[in-house]
Formats: sequence, C-alpha cells, structure tokens
Amino acid sequence: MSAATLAELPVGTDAIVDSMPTGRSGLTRLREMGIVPGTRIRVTRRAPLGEPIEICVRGSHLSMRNHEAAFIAIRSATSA
Amino acid sequence: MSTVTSDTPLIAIVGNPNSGKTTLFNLLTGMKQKVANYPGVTVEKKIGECYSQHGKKLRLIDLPGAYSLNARSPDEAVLRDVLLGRRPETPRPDRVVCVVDSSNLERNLYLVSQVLELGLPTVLVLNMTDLAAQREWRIDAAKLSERLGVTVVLTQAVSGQGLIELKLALSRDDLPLPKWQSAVLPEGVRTALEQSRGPLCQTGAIHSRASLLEPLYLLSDHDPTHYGIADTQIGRIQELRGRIDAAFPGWEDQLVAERYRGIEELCGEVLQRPELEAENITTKIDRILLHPVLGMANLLLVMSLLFYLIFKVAEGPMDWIETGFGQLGAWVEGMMAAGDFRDLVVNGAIPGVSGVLIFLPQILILFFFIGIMEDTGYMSRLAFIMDWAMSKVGLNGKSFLPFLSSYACAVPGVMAARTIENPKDRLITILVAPLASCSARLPVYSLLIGVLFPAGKVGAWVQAGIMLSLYALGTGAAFVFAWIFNRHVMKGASSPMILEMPDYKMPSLRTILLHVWQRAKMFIVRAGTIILGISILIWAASTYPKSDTEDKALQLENSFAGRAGKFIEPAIAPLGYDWKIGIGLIGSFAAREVFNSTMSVVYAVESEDDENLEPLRDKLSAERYADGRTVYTPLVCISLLVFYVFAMQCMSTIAIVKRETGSWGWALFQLGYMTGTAYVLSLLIFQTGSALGY
Amino acid sequence: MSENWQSIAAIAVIIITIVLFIVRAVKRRKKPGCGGGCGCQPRSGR
Repeated sequence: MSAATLAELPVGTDAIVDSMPTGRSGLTRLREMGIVPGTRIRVTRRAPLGEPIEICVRGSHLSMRNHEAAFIAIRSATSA
Repeated sequence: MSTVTSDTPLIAIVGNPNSGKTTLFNLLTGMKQKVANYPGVTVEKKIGECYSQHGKKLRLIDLPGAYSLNARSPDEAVLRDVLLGRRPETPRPDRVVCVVDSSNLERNLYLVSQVLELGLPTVLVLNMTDLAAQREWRIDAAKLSERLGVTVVLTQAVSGQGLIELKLALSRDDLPLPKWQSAVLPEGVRTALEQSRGPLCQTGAIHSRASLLEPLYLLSDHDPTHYGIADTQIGRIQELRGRIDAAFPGWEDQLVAERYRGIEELCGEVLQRPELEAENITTKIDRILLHPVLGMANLLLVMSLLFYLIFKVAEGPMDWIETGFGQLGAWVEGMMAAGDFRDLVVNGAIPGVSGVLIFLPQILILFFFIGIMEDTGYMSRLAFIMDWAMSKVGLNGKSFLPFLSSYACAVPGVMAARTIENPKDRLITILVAPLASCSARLPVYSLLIGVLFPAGKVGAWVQAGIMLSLYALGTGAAFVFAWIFNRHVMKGASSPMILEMPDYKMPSLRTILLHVWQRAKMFIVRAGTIILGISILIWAASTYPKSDTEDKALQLENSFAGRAGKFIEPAIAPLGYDWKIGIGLIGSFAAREVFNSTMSVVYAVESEDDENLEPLRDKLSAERYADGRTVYTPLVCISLLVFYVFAMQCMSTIAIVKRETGSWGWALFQLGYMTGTAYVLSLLIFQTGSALGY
Repeated sequence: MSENWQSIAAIAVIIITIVLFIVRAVKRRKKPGCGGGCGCQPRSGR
C-alpha cells in the first residue's frame, strides 16, 4: 500500500501515521489526542454514507470527518 | 517535599473528560458541594468539601475536563487559568489530583505530563481499573510513581474502591513534588518565550514573571476570548505569537510530538498490554448502536421510552402536587376575608406557581434520562449518528453539543457555540439552536396534549408519540433552516471536530441523582422567584382596572390583560385561538412555561370560587365560546402546539443571542424567522384543518 | 374596612414585584449571563 491518507484507509486495517501538515491549529488538537507521526492507527468503522469515521488510536476510539482524515498521511503497518 | 501552609488546602481535581473525575469528586464531597459559575464564562464552578483521614477539612474544586492545557474551548481555558492562578476569584490550588482513565493511559498521560510540570504537589489517580483489567492491561503503579515522583492511587470510582487510599494520600501534609520533565523546550523557543514575558505582562495577560508556562500556554491559545484581557491588547498577543510562529514554524506541533515520545517511553516501562486488542463489550454494542438503521431506530425507541415515562410515571406525583396546591389555595381562602390581597394569593400567586411546579416530576425524569445517556457514553454515539446529517446541512461537527444542550435550555446551548471557531458555522448554530424543544416547552406540550387527549381516553403511548413528533418537528426544522441559512451565507473554512467515543460504562446513579437534584433546585427556585413574580403581574393585569360588575368574566375582559388579548384576537383568530389564549401568548414571550401560569391565573381569576380546585386542563377542555363551540378543539390544540415548537418566546435567549452575536440584528432576525414560521404554520394547519371539516 | 388593607397590600405587592424585576434587569446589564435561573447546564468535565 502506497502512502495514502487516513480518509482512504480501509476499515479494519492497521496503519502508521506518516506525516501531517504542521502549523494548522486545528490539527494540533488531533496531535494532542495522540495522532502524531509514528503512531499506530486503525479505522474501525465508517458511517454508511462515508462519514463520520471512527478510528482507534492509542487505545481510545475517536470519531472525525473525512475532511480531517485527509490531512493525515499514512503508511503501511506491516513490516517490509 | 512541600508542606501545606493554608488552613484548608484547596485541591484541584483534573483529568480528561470521561475519566470518572466527577464521579470521584462526588464520592469525596457527597452533598457538600456548591455549584456556581465562573464570572464571565459559561463554565460551571464546582467546589466541595471533604475531611481527610485525620479529620482535617479539605476543599476540593472540580475543574472542567480537558485533553490539554492548550485551551481550545472556554472550559479548557478555565482549567488552565485556575491551575496557573490567573483567575482573580479562584485562588491557585495547593495540590492537584490527576484522574486518569487507566484503559486509556497513554492519551490521559498527555494532560498529566503538562500538569506535573506546574510543580504542584500532585496525586495521580489511576481510575477505571476494571476497564483496564478487561483489556488485560497491567500497569506497574509502583514504577509509575517512582518515575513521575508522585503518589499513585488505584481506584474504581463507581464502586468506591480505592477511595480510602486516595483520602489517605490527600491527608498527607508532605506530598512529594513531581520530578517529571517531559518536553524540553528548544533553546530558541525558550528564549522567545522569555522575551515575550515582558510584553505579555504589560498587556495584563500574565501575572507572574516566574515561569515560562504562562507565556507558553497563552501563546498556544488561538482563541482571543480566552485571554481574559481587554480587546485592545489582543493584537499584541497575536503579534507575539506570529513572531514565534515565523521563527519556529510548527513549534507547537513539535512540542506535542516530544511529549508523546516521553510518554511512549514511560509506558514502555510501566504498561503491559496484549498484542491484539480484544473485542470488548463496547465494540459489540456499537455494532448495533452505530449501525445506520438500527442505530437510528434505537434512538427513536429511547426517545419514545423517555416520553412514555414522562407521561406515565409523572402522573401520580403530578396529581399530588396539584392537589396539594389546590388545598393550599382553599386553606388561604378560608383564612382571610374576601379582598384584593386574598385574590392575589389565591388567584394569582398560587395558580401561577403551581401551574409550573406541577411539571417538576417530568423535568426530573427528563434530566435523569439525559444524565444516563451522558454517563453511559451514549451521547457520543448520538453525535456520531447525527454527524452525517449535520455535515450535509452544513452544520459543523462542533454544533452537536450546543444543539444538544439546547434541549435543556437554549441559553447555555447558545453560549456553548463559542467553541465553534468558524464564524458562519457559529452563527447558524446560534440561529437554529432554539428550535430544539427546550425543557420550558415541556410543560406547555404536556398541558396541551392533556387537553388534546383527556386522561384515560388514550394510552400514555399515544401521548408520548405526539410528544416525540413535536421534538422531531423542532429538530427537523433546525436542520432545514440550517441548510437554508447555509445556502445564503458564504461557505467558510470548515474546522475539524474530533469526538471521543469512550467505552460504555455502568452509569453512576449517585452522580446522576445528585445532578438531577441540582437541576430540581434550580427549577424550584426559578418557580418561586421569577414565575411567582410574573404570576403576580399577570394577576394584576387581569384584575385591574376594575370594572363595576359582579360578572368575573366581564371583569377579566375589561382588565389590561383582557384588553390586550382582545386587541390581538383578530390577528390570532385565523390560527384558531381566542383572546384568552392571546393573553397566554403575550405572557409567554417572557418565558414559554409562563403560558401555563398565565392560563392558570386567567382561569382562576374568572372562575367562581368552587371551580378553583379543578385541574387546568379540565377547565381548558370545558371552555366554550358564546355560541357554544368548543374553544380547545383537537385542531386548535395542534395548531397551538406547533406554534410553541417554532415561536421564539424567551427573553433570556434573545438577550444571550444579542450578546453572543454582538448586535440586536441577528437576535431580532431570529425572533422574526422563528415566530413568523410559527404563525404561518399554525395558520396553515388551522385553516386547512377547518376546511377539511375538523 | 378590611377590604381596604387588602387592596393596599395587593397594590404594594405588585409595585414591589415590578421594582424587583427592574432591579434584576439592570443588574443583568452589568453582569450578563443567565445566573443559573434558566436552569443551565454549562459544560463541565465528567
């Protein structure tokens, strides 16, 4: 899987956060909730019409819209 | 080591939302707590007392739940400010208790790491040990304590486990100071913060030049309303921040990443968890509750149940209250000779207040339900289900909470909209929030549904169904108007919303009941003061000027109120209303539930003495026009109910909208569009219904 | 004669009520907020 964003991550697959744009105050809160580069992340469910999505990170479940998820670039969690 | 100097140490309870912090606070303080408001903000201030193991009095303050000291909302700003000692009316706490959800250790430690850096004597409480155990997590509390340099206590707040150990920890006079330094500021940033201290002091934003934490957190806070300083100075702070941002782009993000690095390292040493996250009961339940169809069906079921209970369970207590007041009235009547003052009491004060107080049982049930939904974690599922619809009509995800709060009362709901950064989203949320049927509408709905379906003729389920429809109507209308407003206002940048979905947990009945009790007190006080006052005034308006006649009905007609009602009668007759309803409508513009008080007073004033004990809904049902037609036909009731769903009738809300939007323009617009819609819809309903022969 | 004291008492109560409301409204201007009267539930940590 090439580096895509969280918005496209299939439900149930693990991934690692690769990068996020810096300097956006809205994203700082996401980081404070634990989503920083290097974190393991998974999409546990998507609402039927696409959003919101529920993700699992550091043991807690969070929900967000695709708009935010699209900022979070990810890479595969499976070791090469 | 630090010794406590003050006589009653002030201990702050902090933690993430959903960490069980408030349950713990309630356990420690019991009924000995006071709820107030922080001046100037919509945040609740909770202070309580408890006694240490040595019998020494301790003061506890339950600070708002937060994920970080980098404030993104008024609550978090209050937390930060109290801990930094920036709030003039609240002294800096002497000690801090950090409550952590053990099953979410890593993320909870983020706030903890910030709090530890404050350098106050701290106790770390690992709460929800049962949830952690369920996940088969193992936390080495001793090691954690050693690494952080603070006392660690394990608790399971709902069952009370660990409470004694916590009290023991709090009883110590010599709590160790934390020795954890998680995020080291890069040299350049450090210097920049040091340099900003002077200018910040000048703006009045910071009070202490001692530490770097105040400048750090203030400059990280992007919302100027959190600074608590004069508007003129805000520019300076933004300028300072701009400088640091330019010199060190992304410095805030780097700090966050630094902290988590430290936390991960720490957790590596103290936390053991299984490789694969096992499915727990929360995920199983969520399969249903978050299912598109089942989830929504479940929501409707829950709401129906709520309203059913409101009608069924409240019946008994409502009768007692009604009878009680009736007897009170009769007693007072017997005590005094006939006269104006007796009239004021028996036909004004008592009916007016009782007209509202009767609905206390229903209010209690409503808030009990809301408490359960919140405490179990169901609310966030609700937010998840509604979020798609909200995004489609252009409502910000953050609009959910303000909107939800409005079901209790629109005033805090409108204030909560401050958390929405996008001005357009915020405005729209404020404009539609009052369409959520607030708790003041409940007495009106109940009364009219009672007239619509006289008791015994239909089951409580039918009444509940009508109630549900009314709530659904208001909610649907809010979405429709949000969509309409969105189309006519430029679309701004959307701001992110992230919502936590905590594990489901058994609700803490004690916390909920305490909360319901606090609400009950507020309701009763309001009835005894504002409603009483308004009732007296309505009685006055319905009695003066006195006409020279024995016919009470004629006297009412000639009074101020009567004339006012008659004056607007032509305007409301097409909706099916008579002039007495007109009086009720006029009264309701102060507050919706005043409709009940007004009708109580109006019907008391004009009734003969022995009719006074009849319940109001019976009197309404029996009301006839001069030609014998029924006034409160089912069609009229429905028309009136729909009117109340939509009309903007609350001075407090208008005032708060004016304050929050900064001008009368939007407040009046809201008054206009809501009441206008109410009028038009009632008109349509009544005219169409009449034409169809109802 | 007892009618008289009642009429006066009633008017007195009404005037006091009006005055209290006005005082309240003025106080609200100075310190805006619901003051807990409307039955707020402002956000608080759980």
